[in-house]
Amino acid sequence: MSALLELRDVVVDYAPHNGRARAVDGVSLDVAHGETLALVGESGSGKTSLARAILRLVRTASGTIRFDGADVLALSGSGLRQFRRRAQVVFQDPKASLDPRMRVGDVVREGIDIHALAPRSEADRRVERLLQEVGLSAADAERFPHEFSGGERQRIAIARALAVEPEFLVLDEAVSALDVLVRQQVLDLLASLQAARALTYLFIAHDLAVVERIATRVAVMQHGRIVECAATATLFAAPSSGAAQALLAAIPRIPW
Amino acid sequence: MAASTWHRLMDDRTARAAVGVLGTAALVAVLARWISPYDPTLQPDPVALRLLAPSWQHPFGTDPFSRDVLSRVLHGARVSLGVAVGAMLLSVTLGTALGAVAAVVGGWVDTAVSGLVDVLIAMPRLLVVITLVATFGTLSPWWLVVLIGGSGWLTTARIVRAECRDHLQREYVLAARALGATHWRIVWHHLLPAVAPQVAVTAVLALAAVIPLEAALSFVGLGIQPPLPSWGNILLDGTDYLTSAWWLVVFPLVAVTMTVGAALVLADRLRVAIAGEDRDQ
Amino acid sequence: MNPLLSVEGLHVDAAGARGAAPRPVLRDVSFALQPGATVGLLGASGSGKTSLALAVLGLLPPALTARGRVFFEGLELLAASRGARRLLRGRRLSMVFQEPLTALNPRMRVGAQVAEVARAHGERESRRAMRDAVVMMARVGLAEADVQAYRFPHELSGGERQRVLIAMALLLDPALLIADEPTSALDVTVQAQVLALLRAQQRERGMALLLVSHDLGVIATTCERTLVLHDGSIVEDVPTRQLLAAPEHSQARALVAAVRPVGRSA
Repeated sequence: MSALLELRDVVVDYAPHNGRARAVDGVSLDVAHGETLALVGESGSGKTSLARAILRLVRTASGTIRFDGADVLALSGSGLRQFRRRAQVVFQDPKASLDPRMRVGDVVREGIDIHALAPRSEADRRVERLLQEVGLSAADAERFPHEFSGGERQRIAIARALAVEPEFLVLDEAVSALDVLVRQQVLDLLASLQAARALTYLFIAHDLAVVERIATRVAVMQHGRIVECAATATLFAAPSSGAAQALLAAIPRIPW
Repeated sequence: MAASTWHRLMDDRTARAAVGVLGTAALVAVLARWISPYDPTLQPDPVALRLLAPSWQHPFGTDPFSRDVLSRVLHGARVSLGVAVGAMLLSVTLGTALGAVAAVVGGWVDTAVSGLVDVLIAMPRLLVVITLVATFGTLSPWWLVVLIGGSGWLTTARIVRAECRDHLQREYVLAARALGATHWRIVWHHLLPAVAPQVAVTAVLALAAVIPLEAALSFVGLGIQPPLPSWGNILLDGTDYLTSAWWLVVFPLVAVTMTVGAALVLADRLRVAIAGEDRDQ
Repeated sequence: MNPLLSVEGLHVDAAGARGAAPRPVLRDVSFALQPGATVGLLGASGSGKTSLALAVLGLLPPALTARGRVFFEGLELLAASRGARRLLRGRRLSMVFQEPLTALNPRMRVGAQVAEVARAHGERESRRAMRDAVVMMARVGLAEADVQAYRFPHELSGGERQRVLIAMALLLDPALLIADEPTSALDVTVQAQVLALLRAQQRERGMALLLVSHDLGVIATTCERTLVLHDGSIVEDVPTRQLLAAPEHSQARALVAAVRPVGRSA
């Protein structure tokens, strides 16, 4: 299996005006086609900054990011637009990640319009199909985000990301704000979408318990660096880094 | 502005009254030509008909040149409110555009716009406008719109820039950027709808600031030139007769006070309605 | 033994918007809590957990109305005067909220906010109130409590803020602590520390703990008994071990399945 995404010595500085806080401090990582790589760590460890750097939403200070062989940091114009179609993101906060003034149909459709993927009537049908695919109904296109629960909003955000038919999806704490039951439903949805669409996931979480069910491999981040990267079963059985051990110890030990 | 903000506003009796006052003033201004009993510049008999007290024939009385004050106040609404609305639209458009561009483009553009705002906002607007008018001589109403509007965009620009910067950090805008949306699309589809309520508030406040500004300029003889009536120069005509002919001063003053007061009240109620909207989302 | 808290036939209704019929939030909820007991209140979002906690405290928002009876230390709270309920809150009956940032006053030093609890319940000496506050903050594990007490909420981390709230809740040695999702806004490692703190304090003081959460993992490590709330009704009221081993109601089964480790079947 070749790597879809290759990171080499990626450095991201945070708020370069006041001091030089280093959010990501030399990360090298490969994500293979079709796998789910989990990126875990405490808040402030640099997970989100790394994800945003990969998506070209924040500046990368140094290092290289390759997506399907192409140098992401060198992309511009139509190359960058093409990359944005192929690599998509679902954010953590389902309250903040949907424009409250847009109808759900327009939210999902935005990517189709930006990339001119379909004429008008065809786009409407596509939006309906996407809403159904994520477990909502076609009629929901007419409603506004605030009429939905947190889990439903996250489904809308997933539909918006899928609308441009990406190959790679960054799930940035996409289930952390959801309660346990809804979280499980959204994880199930993500798993079935991955199988149906041959998606590659970068799954970011601060909670190892969530990761166990979905990840192929787990990378543990601490102070801007990857301190451990192993297959999920290996990491859960024998964590080698202190950070991984602490995260594992934090999982509530249920007296079964 | 979201439909529900408008409904919330219209549920508020005070806001409805303010909208009613402003709407009436606007209607009067538009229909002045047809509802005025006399030609506002006509001087039928400057000797016999001068300075008549209010009567059925002249509800607001007549002025020193025997002109009908009611007709002058109605036509004055057309000129004063026309200049005010024009200047308001200009300043709000300019402020919104510059504020949004500064926030979205960032870098040196932001530094330049913000710096300009910081410098200009320290200058007293009335003095600047008076100085400019005094330099260029008397102006046509159109130039007055440009001058007043062009000097009033600062607050709007500041507010729009701050609001846009806030929204740019939110995940829904990041999601749009991740989808490949251009600056233009982000401004047009996401930021402008988001800041529209705040812009509406600054627009109404701008109206409240501009009406007295035009009146003040015309009052000191630098604004609208006679014989064209404006609320400011009607007041000017009346100052010499303050003790003998009160109606020359009272009616235009009431007109200015009521429209400005209604605009201030509306801005306040609009703020409350928007706060309610934010709470619900 | 008389129960410390006893809820009997509690209904809570939400006023309908613009003339619509009221919507039931809680339907005929009954349960009892013995002194020193640890009970978890488990439910998905929207099940009515928070409304139940607020109804017990008499802090329901105006749009919600409660019917039924809530006895605490023999006093019927729903019929009690506001003054009588206020005297209980913070002294005999305390609460810790989910979001530690919004539960604190941003413009007030945290030590002063802890001391305020004592002041509200009759402590006249501000020096002594502050000293007691600092002692309590140290006891809930705030490092350098004497320094931290003079900081503002935004200068503390999420875990430290939650410790401040717990210090406020425990200051007057309550008989019952209600903790509403006390860890869901926190990082997992911090969550583990806060849960350990709640357990330790509960044991040390012999106080009763009602822990509200959507996460059975949080409840199972802390509470002997679990109430499962679904759609406004209590559908299970069993020892936690029994719930884990043999959940009966379908909602309970789903909540248990959601935390069951990979490869472990029911």
